[in-house]
Amino acid sequence: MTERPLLLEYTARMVYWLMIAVSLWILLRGHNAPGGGFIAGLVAVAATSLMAIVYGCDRAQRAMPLAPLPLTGFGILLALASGVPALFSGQPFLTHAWWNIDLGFTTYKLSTVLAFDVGVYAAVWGAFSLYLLALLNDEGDTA
Amino acid sequence: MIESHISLLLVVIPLLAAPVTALLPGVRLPWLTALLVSWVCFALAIWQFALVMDGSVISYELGGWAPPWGIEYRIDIVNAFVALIVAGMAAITLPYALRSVEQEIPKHQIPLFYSMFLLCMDGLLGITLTGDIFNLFVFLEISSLSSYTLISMGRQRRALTAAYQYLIMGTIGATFLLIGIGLIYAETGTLNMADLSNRLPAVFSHHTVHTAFAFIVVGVALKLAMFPLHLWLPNAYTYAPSAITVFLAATATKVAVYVMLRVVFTVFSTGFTSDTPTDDMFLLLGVLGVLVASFYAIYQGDAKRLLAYSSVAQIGYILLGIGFASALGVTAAVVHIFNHALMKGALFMAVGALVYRIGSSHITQFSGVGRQMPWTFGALVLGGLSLIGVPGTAGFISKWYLVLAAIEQQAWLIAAVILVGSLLAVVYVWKMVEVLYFRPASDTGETYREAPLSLLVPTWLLVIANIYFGLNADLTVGAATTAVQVLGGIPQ
Repeated sequence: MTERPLLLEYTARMVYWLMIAVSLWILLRGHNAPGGGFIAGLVAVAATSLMAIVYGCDRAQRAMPLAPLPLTGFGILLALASGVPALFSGQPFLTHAWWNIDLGFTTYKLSTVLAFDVGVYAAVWGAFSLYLLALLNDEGDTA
Repeated sequence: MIESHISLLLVVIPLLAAPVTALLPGVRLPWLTALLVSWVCFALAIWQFALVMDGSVISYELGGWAPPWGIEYRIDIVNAFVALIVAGMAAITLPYALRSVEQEIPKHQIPLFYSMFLLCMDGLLGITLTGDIFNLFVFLEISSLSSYTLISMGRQRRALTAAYQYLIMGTIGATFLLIGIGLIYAETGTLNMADLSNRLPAVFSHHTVHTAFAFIVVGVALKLAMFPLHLWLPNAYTYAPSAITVFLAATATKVAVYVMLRVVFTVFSTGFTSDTPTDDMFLLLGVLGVLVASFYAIYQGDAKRLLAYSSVAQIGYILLGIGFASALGVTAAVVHIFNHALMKGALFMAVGALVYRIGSSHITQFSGVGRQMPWTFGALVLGGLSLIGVPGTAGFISKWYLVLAAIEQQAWLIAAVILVGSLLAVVYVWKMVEVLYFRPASDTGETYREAPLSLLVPTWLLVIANIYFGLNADLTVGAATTAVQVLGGIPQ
């Protein structure tokens, strides 16, 4: 990229974090309202793609919490592991436990489903970024 | 605790291990993880098989949601038998894989290779264990997507085209299956297979159900490489890494056959299929498959491709068994699922060992190598005899039951086709044996050492299994006979 679009670069940094924040919000409200891990993960991928287009793949990857492949692996592991505690309490796999947490202004329903959703979020973010960065990056291997 | 979750653990352990394997460094560590997982799964599969051997049923409700609303894993002897084949073949392929994969696959891809292998095995196990037809579709996609990746890792560039071809065909098959599932869901409002078999008879006359059946049968037929939908198979088996050819040839099409059995006999039942030309279609395509694919096999110059065409022919035999829709026929089909896994596993392993030393699977390169690699050659001969159906080998047992089923229905022509198919198998097995043993070694003076033990031992284990199950058919035929009763809807 020879001419750097200054305005885009400046806004992209802010918009990136805004998009990540929105994705987290979508993730957290997902139990009883539209949202959840998959769609939140897609929003996060959109944020990563913005970074990749403006600043290049390396920087987009550095802005992610983990490299795409480990992130995917971590996500799948977390999602599956969320079903395991049920086994030890004698219930079938993926039976989830729920707790209500009083936040003062609202009650948040915390559950092991959240761990599942966070896993899906990480897996979607990782896997789609892996494709995206590999396609955008001419050098090839980004994993 | 383990016993009550046994079916679930068979699916969850490989699924948990797959991402871990992908992140492990080096070559041996990912292999060791995959090996351990496959052995644990094999042990669990044996245990599970012992639990349902008497015809009882294990039902497992995922997430505590009662069926038919939630996803149910429903294991009877049919699933347990097929799961045993899948886990057993994985457990025996992985020791074989180490050396052959180190040679065929770039080092940095090896952790991903084993991760994909575990996913593929997991998908195949999931297909067999689930009692929910949509969940079955999901596992089918897991196993298919991972097998596309595994095939594309083959050494030659043409592996990419082969994988792409399989990807297109496989996706069409999966889409057909999905459309069919969607239609029966629209008609009955349930996805649980046991529930479907209760609800479907009320709507058998509806055209939607007929359409759904057609879509599902064609979709599954693509996955099991039923003639003439087999075109993806020869390329995929030829260009895939040797260990993958062994595993897929022994399990992937077998699991698809299981799905076909389930759909035709349990979900739809013979009450429905006898009103449709399903049985005749299976018989016709089975006969054509046996004859045409065997002829094709004779003209192949590549050993892996030759065996791949032979696989299509063997699937023809299994379809004949399904087409007879009699207790004997389906027994033969179920027994042949098991025996064909053993014989094709052994044969592809032997050819893989030749490829390991020679670097090519082209038959002209094999001149005289049989005398330099006697153990590999011996395995190939014995596997070939089993493929032909010589008495004393596993192949004989399934052919015997198939011929009995044909005679029972006085289908003399089909009985003749089975015999002709065996004669054609003699021709193509001889074609390899002749070059390997009776041709003089190539004049380049190159000599090949015997294949390493890590390749020979799994190969010979399968060869010995071929002979053992040829002499003692109690386990296979006993399981198949119970399976026929459990599948339901088959006239005894």
